[in-house]
Amino acid sequence: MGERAQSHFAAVIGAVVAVAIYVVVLIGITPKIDALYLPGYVVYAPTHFNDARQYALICVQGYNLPYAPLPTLGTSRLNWMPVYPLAICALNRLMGTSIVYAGAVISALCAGIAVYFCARTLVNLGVQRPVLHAFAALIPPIGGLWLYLPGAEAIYLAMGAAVMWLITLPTPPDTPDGNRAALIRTGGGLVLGAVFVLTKPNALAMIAPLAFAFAYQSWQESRRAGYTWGLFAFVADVVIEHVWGAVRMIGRARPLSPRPIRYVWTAAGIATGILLGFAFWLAYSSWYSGVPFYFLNQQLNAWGRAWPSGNIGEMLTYYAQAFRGIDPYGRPWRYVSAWYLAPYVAALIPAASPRVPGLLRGMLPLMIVFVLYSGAVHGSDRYILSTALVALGWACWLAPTGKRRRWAVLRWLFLILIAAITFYMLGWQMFPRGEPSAWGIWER
Amino acid sequence: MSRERLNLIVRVLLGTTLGAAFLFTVAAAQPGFIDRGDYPAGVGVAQAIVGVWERPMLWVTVSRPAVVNPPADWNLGQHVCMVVQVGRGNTPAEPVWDDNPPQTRWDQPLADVFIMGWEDIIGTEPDLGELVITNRQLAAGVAALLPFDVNWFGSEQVSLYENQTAGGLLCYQFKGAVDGLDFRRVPRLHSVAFKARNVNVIRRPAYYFRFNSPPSGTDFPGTVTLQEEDFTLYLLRMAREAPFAVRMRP
Repeated sequence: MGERAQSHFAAVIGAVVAVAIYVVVLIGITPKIDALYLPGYVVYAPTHFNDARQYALICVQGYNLPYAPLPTLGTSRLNWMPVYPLAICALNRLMGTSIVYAGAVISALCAGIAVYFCARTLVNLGVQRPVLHAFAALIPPIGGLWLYLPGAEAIYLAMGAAVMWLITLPTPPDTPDGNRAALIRTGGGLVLGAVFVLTKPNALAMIAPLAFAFAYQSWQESRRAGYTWGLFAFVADVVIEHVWGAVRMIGRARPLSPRPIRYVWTAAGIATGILLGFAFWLAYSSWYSGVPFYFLNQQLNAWGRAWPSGNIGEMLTYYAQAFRGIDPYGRPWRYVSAWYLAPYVAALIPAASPRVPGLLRGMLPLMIVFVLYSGAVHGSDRYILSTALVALGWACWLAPTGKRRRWAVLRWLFLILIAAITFYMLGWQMFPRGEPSAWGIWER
Repeated sequence: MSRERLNLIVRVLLGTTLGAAFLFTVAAAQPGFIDRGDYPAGVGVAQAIVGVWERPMLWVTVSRPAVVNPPADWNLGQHVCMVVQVGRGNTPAEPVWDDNPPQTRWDQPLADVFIMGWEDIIGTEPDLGELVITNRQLAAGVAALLPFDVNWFGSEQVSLYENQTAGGLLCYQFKGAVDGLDFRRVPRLHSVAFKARNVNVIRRPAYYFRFNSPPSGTDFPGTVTLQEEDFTLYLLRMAREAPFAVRMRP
């Protein structure tokens, strides 16, 4: 068996184990999923259990507006993106799987797909023991419980892992066949990007990291071809080349002196696909509702708790209250803001480590910049940590880079410890008290 | 395929895709207003008047509907009366009786006010009779002969700012004509829907009522069968159950 086939086989084994782990958790929460569909109609369902029901209802009833006229549920189903309900419908219609459980089955399969693509990505990045470290994707350090609740987290993670695998594939050689392969990858990336954002709008946070990946990978490829300047100079050269090319198209201008610039287009293709998918959903939801920029308005206003309009000043005030003495009355406001600050810190740990490849180290902070800009105070735990980018960052951080394996074990223990603590905090301390909902700024 | 050709194809592909995304965005900016009509509303529960989502919703709560019989010597016939409350904000709130409501809100922008007047209360019945709000006719008799103060709803325009609520008693009949003669009555089947102005309403709650007729399998969900009640006893009950709408005169 060749090396490539071996790594593929190992990744498949890892995927099967991941599905098994996910199924064990699902069996534990099956009674709660059952309860969502009992006769008498449950009006209120906590957290992602409500999401799960909406996805199933979209499959049965389609997108309707509003999805319930009751005050407790005054938001539209158009907030729930279409890929997951389409997958639920497909599984239900083609395989006869109960629509109550089809979403859970897809999530379980996606846990496997996520581990498979993470493992393949780690192979591409040259990480030791890639299958083992790909399992970091199933252990988000903060609020890892979200991944195992019914909802689109698992499928979003899987799509993100596929994106990361595609952009880390070795660059094809500069031959007719190699260039054709590069074209196919770019076209495939475009489609993948559109599907990615139609799985969850959080994919918008990947546009800046993908732009970085395009610049970084193209720079690396150009250096191999003899380019000698740094990344910023390369970006400037790329801009100049395109601006000058546009000038030459409309008028007479001398060609620039040739520079050894090579492009790796895959990441740019995915980013463009994300923009296309988002614009499509914006148009569809606006057409469906009759409201201009409907989806954006929903995210910025009606869905305000999750995604208030970006305001760095307010966000700093909000996160600063984690360190303010507002006990005893404001205690939830204190530790809930600390909770939402933690994912940013968690994502920056791999970004700050030289153990992690430069590609991921550059992408990670840019994703956080978007989340900060969008103002996603509430939900940063799952917005940041359900992305495969962060999972792969942690996987690279965990993996040994030399021969000293003992430190890798300690790093794994650290990850498992903080994951277990936050898992317990979310499931047993915060959910039962209706938190994390103390998300505002404490003004006492 | 040469690298130059690959770069050219990819640039065209990405440029075309971005152009398509731009066209989608243009389409999203001008979808055309869509009126999705009425939805069957539940009595006694706050129901949303669904407007443009970038602006706040209005809540309407209709409760205690009944067909009332005013004293026979008033010669007004039967009316439908109900308690209506409307509010803005994230959650519906109960109004209170206010003897001194503010005359103006000079410091608040006019663009932010939602208005509900009698034209925004839309009645429909199978015989195409026209809904007539009869608050004024009843108010004269109540003021002169009955010991109640009534906060009427629908006779005059209600202006609602953010987090404001209003409510009162709404009474109406349906006006029709047979052989050139006008008559007023409570039809066997009718609906009342509520909308608002200064906001694009996409969907509005409609309440369906039956009177003197058995329920049918084709009734909308939540259709209420109205019961007859003496007007004075009805007001007495409302003074207890909806003090923001009716109160005993001191």
